Amino acid sequence: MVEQIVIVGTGRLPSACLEHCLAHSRKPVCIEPEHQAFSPFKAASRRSNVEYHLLTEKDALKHFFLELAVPTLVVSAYNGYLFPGSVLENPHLSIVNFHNSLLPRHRGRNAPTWAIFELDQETGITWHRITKKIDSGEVIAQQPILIGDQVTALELTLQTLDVGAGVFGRIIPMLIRGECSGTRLTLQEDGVLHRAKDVPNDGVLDLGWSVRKMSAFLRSMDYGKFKVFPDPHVFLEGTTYSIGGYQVTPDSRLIDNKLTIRDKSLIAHGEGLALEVMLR
Amino acid sequence: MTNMKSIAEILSEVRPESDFSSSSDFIADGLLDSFDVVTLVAALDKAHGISIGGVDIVPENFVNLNAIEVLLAKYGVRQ
Repeated sequence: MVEQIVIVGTGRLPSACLEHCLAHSRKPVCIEPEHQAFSPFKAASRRSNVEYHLLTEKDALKHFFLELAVPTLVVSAYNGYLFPGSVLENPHLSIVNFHNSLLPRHRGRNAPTWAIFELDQETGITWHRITKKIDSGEVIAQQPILIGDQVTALELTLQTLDVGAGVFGRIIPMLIRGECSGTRLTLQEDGVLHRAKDVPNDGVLDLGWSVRKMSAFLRSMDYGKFKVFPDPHVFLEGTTYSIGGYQVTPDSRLIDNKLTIRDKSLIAHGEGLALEVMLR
Repeated sequence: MTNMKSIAEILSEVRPESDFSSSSDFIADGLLDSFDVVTLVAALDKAHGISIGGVDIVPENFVNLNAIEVLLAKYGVRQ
């Protein structure tokens, strides 16, 4: 049985985790590891009258976790802070982390991007224990999410957060009781680790791709006005164009991957899709 | 009131579970996170044929309906 709960993260997911803890009569300590202009987590903490700390310095975070000396469940929920080895060795801590893919597939950063880009039929969420190796600890719970034909990386990210919150609500009683056993990933299942600097196809739209792949590439880079990646670009007749926008619509006509260039647009048809790409 | 209703409708589509009508400060009350704001901006852009710049995606422009209306007015969207 854990004696206290600490939630560390930013945005809506830790806020939802806080609500689930309160629903089980637990008042967690809330930690936000980076300043957020829009912070529902801080607002929810204040509204619930629970302890909240903005700890943006790695040393401050490390000391906070090292000083925990009672059995503590640490919920890492959309959290960019990497727990150092010394914290992981604190015997009082049981740390569970949310990851927005079905591990071991798409370990690391921007998992929804890679799931869309690689034309996965489904992705999902994973709650897992944290070990020194990123996104490789025992899996506690997973739930798949079907990837829609037109879903963007931003939309899929939001879906994973909502699903992750729901799954946390189901596992929190077991986590509190300390009864949540995990499933160890085997070495053969060790997926590729995506790093923050990794960009699908280095940000280049390949005109040799099928329409479905071109659509997937553009949607995988699409976080709305969040600049997660540089604008994608395309090489066309010796010139590099930045891609300013795109539109994907269903197309029932039987056209086999036809590409046309009109003014400042690329228009591609095929595989039941019509894709318009606006060039700059 | 046309735009005010439009903003309220868009907000309710972005965050259907939140009650924006009972809040005078969407940010302090935690009704919007950064994902919501980016989604809201995309919806406002599309609804009004504008492109709200990144420099305007700051909390004070999304505090309440009036603040969003003022932001839209900056882009030529008026009642």
